[in-house]
Amino acid sequence: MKYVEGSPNPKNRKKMEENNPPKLKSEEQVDLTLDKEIGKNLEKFKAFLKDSSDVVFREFSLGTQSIPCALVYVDGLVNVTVINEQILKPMMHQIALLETNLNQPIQPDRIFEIVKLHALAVGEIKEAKTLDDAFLYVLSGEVAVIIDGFDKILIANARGWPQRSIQEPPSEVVIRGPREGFTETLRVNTALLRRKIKDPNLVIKSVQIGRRSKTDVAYAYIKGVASQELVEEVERRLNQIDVDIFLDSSQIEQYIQDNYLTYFPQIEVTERPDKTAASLAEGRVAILMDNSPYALIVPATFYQFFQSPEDYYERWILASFIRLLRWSGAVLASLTPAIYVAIVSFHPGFIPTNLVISVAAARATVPFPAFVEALLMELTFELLREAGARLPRAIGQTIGIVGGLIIGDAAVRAGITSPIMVIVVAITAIASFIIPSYSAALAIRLIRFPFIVLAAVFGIYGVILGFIILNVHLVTIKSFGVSYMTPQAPMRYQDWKDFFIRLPTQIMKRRPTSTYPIDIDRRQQDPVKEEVR
Amino acid sequence: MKERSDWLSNIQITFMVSSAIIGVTVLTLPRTAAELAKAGGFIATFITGALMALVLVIVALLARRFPNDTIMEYSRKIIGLIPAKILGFIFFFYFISVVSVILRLFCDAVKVLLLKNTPLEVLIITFLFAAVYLCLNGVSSLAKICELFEPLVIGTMLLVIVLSLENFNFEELLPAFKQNISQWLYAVPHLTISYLGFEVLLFITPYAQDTSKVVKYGLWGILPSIFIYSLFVAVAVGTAGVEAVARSLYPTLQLARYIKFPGGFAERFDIFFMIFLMLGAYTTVSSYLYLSSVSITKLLGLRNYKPFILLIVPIIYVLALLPQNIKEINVFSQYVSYIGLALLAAVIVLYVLAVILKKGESLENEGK
Repeated sequence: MKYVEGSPNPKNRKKMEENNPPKLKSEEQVDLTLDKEIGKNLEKFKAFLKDSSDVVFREFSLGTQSIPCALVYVDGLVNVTVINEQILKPMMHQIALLETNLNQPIQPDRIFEIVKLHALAVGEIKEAKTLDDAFLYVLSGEVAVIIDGFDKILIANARGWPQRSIQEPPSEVVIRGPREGFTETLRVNTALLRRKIKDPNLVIKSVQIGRRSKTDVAYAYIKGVASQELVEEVERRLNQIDVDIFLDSSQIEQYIQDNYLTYFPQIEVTERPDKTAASLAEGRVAILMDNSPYALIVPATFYQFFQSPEDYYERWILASFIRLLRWSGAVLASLTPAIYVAIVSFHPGFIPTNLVISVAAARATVPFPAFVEALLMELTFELLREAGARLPRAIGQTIGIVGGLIIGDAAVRAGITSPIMVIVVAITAIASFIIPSYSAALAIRLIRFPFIVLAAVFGIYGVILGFIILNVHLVTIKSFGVSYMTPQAPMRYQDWKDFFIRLPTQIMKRRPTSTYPIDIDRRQQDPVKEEVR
Repeated sequence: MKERSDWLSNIQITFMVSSAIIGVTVLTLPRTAAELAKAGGFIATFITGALMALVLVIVALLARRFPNDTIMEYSRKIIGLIPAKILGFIFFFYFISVVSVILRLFCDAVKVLLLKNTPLEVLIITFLFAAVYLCLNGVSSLAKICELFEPLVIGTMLLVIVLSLENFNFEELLPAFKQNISQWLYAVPHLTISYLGFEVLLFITPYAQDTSKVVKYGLWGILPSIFIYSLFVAVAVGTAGVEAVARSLYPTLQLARYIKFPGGFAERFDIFFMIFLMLGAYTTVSSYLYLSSVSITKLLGLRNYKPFILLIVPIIYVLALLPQNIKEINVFSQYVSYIGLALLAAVIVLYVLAVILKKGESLENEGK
């Protein structure tokens, strides 16, 4: 880059300049204001962009007076047909035709307006007053039209780049419900949201984050529903981010989350527009980012990670049953190995005598204590899962068969582990996959290792102690001012309709109170309301 | 962002009172009741509960008169500096004694039932530090933990009571109706320790969102303990008989042991009960640990109570290990409950004085 931006802190900048003065040659340092002369403007563009092979400079002349003009765009980010047919053709031919028909040349000082109003047949036209703006537009795929004699640049929207089509989100598959998922293009994603909520109160605001990547980040909320404090807080946290490049929304998550010392997710991540739209209607704020198919939803509470969009598409009794199944899955995934270790090593009397005998018989040949056995098998399972996750799907299945069936069977036959331990590991594995949110499932899966250790040291007392400490940790977490364990702690019984079970839609007439929505009632939609209670 | 959730809601007040009351004492309560009031133990327990509910109303009324202060501050306004400091010191001593007694009782039970070979010291230290971790996170976290655990504790206790009805024999209770009132009243002072815990109201009221409703929601907090305690005593006596209960070390666990786990999934219901009782003991220990650190902080006129939590931990540890055997623990706990009763009497006197001297806020919204 020819234009070096200093550190925002004046103290540092001074120090930096003393230590290593800007390395650019003096003739390459560029004044960022625009000139009236097209040659100088082009020089400024070229000073930055001439080394990049994907930038196209197209010089041509306009009308009968041959006013020098130029297009600057990035090849690959633009739609070439639009440029040829809607920008170049009118400017090169039709202006001249107009002048011939009218039999008088256009006055040179009006040419900018004429081009803007009569020539460019594209939907979105902007003006750039500085070189910085122009760069941002050009590099995000728009076309800069430079006309001689003006110190401003016309920007025509001709964006068009290869993009992934809308597909079914692979990380959140539902059997019943819409199948479209977000893609990597922000505009497509916001369009998907607009198609779901046609309310003028749906606000999609944009900020740019990343000193070099200049990534577009949009946050969406429904005005009059989402609490004003929440929106302001999102704005504040987004504007605080200062980093050079951004690649995925998960990086935003790491910057704006409340507590980075916990490994529980404090922000919900989804690929599904329907889930995002539903969250907006509950008074939450969604954060979308260009280049990322994941939307962030704030605030998030612990119980939200156990909800799937399908809960609302299926009839309520079935949905409630599945939700209860998920909760028990979470308990099983985190506690089963620990309870096994505790019972086998400390309290065999807890389970029926017949079972004790069969457990003891199965463990008779195992050379390790239950703790080592459990740790060994659980770690093996984690290895298999991680190995399978990164492989192509066909090979991933092989890993599953080899790992799950063959190693498990062989380990039992070799006397390294007992069949009951294999059952425990299998239950843990299956139970951990029942949780819809990947990051929450990961957190719950990992928590079982400290539990195993506690069970090995203190038996069932240690497990409960661990459970207590885990709960204390959970209640201290906050997500954008909302307690993580709402609606259980603090208790909000109004929200229990959609908690352990999901009651019929007819009963859920109100939004959850945990997000402090301005308009609590789902049925009457008030017109635009900026005012907060 | 404004932390709207840091004020204690009405429900949280209820849960905090309830979880400070219900705790380890449920283990030994049927024994005390059966020893002193024989078959009428459940009636004596109920009477004690009713009397304690009355005391709670007075405590809550006093707390409501001074919605912005804890008792450490307003006792000075009522009785002057020196007596207030003495009262404050007794409060502090009482609180750390309660933490120690509960810790010791609970860890003894854990040792007997779950971990025979683990040293008592290790159990006390681990449990104490789990409580310290919670208290360091502030009163709102304490309230949230009470909300999380208390339904589980009460639910398990009700489950034990319901499942015990299978072995329940009503005839064991019939002699109760031949007794006279004096025998019941005789047991009352000895049973009060089980109901102590609502003193939290004197310290958490300044954090309440709606101070005017402290009386109502505090009362809701003591109700479950009255019924659960009375039912426990009745069911324990009805199942095992007065003599067996009076001689048993932990009659409640004995009661749970008789239960056959439905479906034969697990053999020992008493371990299952102990697991959930541990949550109840934890909330009680944490509440009193919080109270002791806050009271010593206010006594010294300081603001930040958190360093004091760590400072009083060694004292509690030593106090908890002081009694040598179960008999000494019983004596210790008896003295502690006497101090508690004396303090409650002092609080009643304080309230009467406050009303006479017209200190604090007038109660125009009485009856709400």
